[in-house]
Amino acid sequence: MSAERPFWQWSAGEIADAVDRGTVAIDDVVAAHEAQADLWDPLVHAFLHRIRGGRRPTAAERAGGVADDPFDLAAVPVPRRPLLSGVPVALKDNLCTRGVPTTCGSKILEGYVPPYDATVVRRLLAHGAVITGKTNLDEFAMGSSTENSAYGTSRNPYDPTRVPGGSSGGSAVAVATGAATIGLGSETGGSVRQPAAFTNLLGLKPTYGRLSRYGLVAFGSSLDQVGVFARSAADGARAFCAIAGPDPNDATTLPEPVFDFDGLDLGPATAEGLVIGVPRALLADGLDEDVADGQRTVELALRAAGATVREVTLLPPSSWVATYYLLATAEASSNLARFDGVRYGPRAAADDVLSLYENSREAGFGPEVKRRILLGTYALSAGYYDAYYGKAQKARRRIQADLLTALEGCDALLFPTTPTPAFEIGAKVDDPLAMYLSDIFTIGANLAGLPALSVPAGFTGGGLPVGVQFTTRACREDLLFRLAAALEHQLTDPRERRWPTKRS
Amino acid sequence: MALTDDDVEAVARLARIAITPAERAKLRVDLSAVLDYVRTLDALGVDGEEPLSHVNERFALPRADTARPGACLDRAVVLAQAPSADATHFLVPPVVDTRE
Repeated sequence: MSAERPFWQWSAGEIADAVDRGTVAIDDVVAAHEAQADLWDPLVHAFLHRIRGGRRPTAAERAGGVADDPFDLAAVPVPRRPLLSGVPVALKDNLCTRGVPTTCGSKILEGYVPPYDATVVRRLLAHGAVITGKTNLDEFAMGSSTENSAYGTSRNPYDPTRVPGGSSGGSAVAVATGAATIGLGSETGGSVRQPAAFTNLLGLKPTYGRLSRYGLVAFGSSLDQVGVFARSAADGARAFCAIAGPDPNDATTLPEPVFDFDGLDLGPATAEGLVIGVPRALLADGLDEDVADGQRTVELALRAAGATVREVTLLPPSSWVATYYLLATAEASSNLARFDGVRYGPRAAADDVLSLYENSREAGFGPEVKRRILLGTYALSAGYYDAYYGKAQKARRRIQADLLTALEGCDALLFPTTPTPAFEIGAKVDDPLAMYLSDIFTIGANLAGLPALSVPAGFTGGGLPVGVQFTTRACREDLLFRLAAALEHQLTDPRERRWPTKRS
Repeated sequence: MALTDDDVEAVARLARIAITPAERAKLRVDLSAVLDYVRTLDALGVDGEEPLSHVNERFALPRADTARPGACLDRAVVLAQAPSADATHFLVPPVVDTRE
């Protein structure tokens, strides 16, 4: 059955099983995905660095790695059984990869080659994955369209005049076009779910602390999480299980055990008896009609699958945006202080150290990064701290309590991932506030530290993908994947997905 | 909240980013707009809330303070990334001016 489809259309499970059985060669799998990247990348620019032939795990890496850096090897247990043998994975270019450039889409890291791998990269390799390359992003993950990359904009394969979303847009495009089976991105305020919704993918933002941030270049440390792009619930769960779990190298990781992939039921009855909360008031205001249709379709499908849908109320999501753009920028202003032209990256000409910092950062950072560093610096500065940063921390407490209260009466919340489908390139890039509001529905889960999964919810009349998202209690990613699987049984078999058709 | 040119200059200096007059003008408009938007938080009435700085509000136990000999980045590899270095140090312009 699966042999009739090209390898680039195979699921991660199909590839891993066939590679483990020895019935397909990794070379052939990798070549098929590279051909897809050759076909698409000149148009959509998913990749910043491609790795020809793929980076494949060495014997030592499959056994957890080697002690050649300060990394605690306890972070990479040898898998009971590998979950990703031969599976091509694309990595957002803010995940450190030994020997492979990591730029964060910024000129200030041009030429930087990390001497170590992120924990999630080591875990992928231990599970047998093949790293195909590093993908485009908004500079330092600050943006919602990839237009803020210093190395060019990625394009949406379903309509190349439109953005793929961001900031993890390149990984989304790689998975949507078959250049990779799995993509890793990162989220601070919706940077995986929003591009997933724009490109007909599943996008997981795990519970804060589920995935190690060791080797993820920091943006807003109390919000950042690595996230997963996949084309099916089973693939997403498989990749998540391979890389999740506590890491002694990241003290913010959670000790709670991760569900066992082999024990996860993704059958047709997985939504039966579940109660889904829908914040109707949030849907009333200016929602795109096609997005509203997607929401209705998913609600009907969940009812057909045996779930109950009930109304819940939430604080207005404008409060999420306001809180987020104070906290994330404040943390960014601190985290990005390390980029100063001293230890890595280009240095601007200067006679003294202060000018060296100021000129290197002037030349190295793009407009959005400068805007956010200045905003965060302002929010933290003497005389304004209480009015901005302090108030945002108090609002964050209220927002977390509000979401947890809403979840007391139901198993998961359901609402659109984005207010509109993918917007046109250039439409919002000069209006920061308009761009920020394209994240309006995703930010709540980040502020509260809760897991959320965006799932495909059909297409507009013009052929643009639409997504909705489930949010649930901490450490219940298994429930999110079960809901996604129930929708696959009701709506679209992932093997019959609508692939983008190449247009120039 | 309308920022002035002086406000933008001051915060840019704190952030150690040189800005041109054109950047300053654009930043004044953009930052003022975002600061106006975030004032909508005033309507939430959160003054009585305890600030939340970390969602999990618990921290992992510190790891054992034991040396891992050999588990260290190679100095030459690290210094090779620097825009200016000698065999053992990152190099920067003089920090203390001794010319006067």
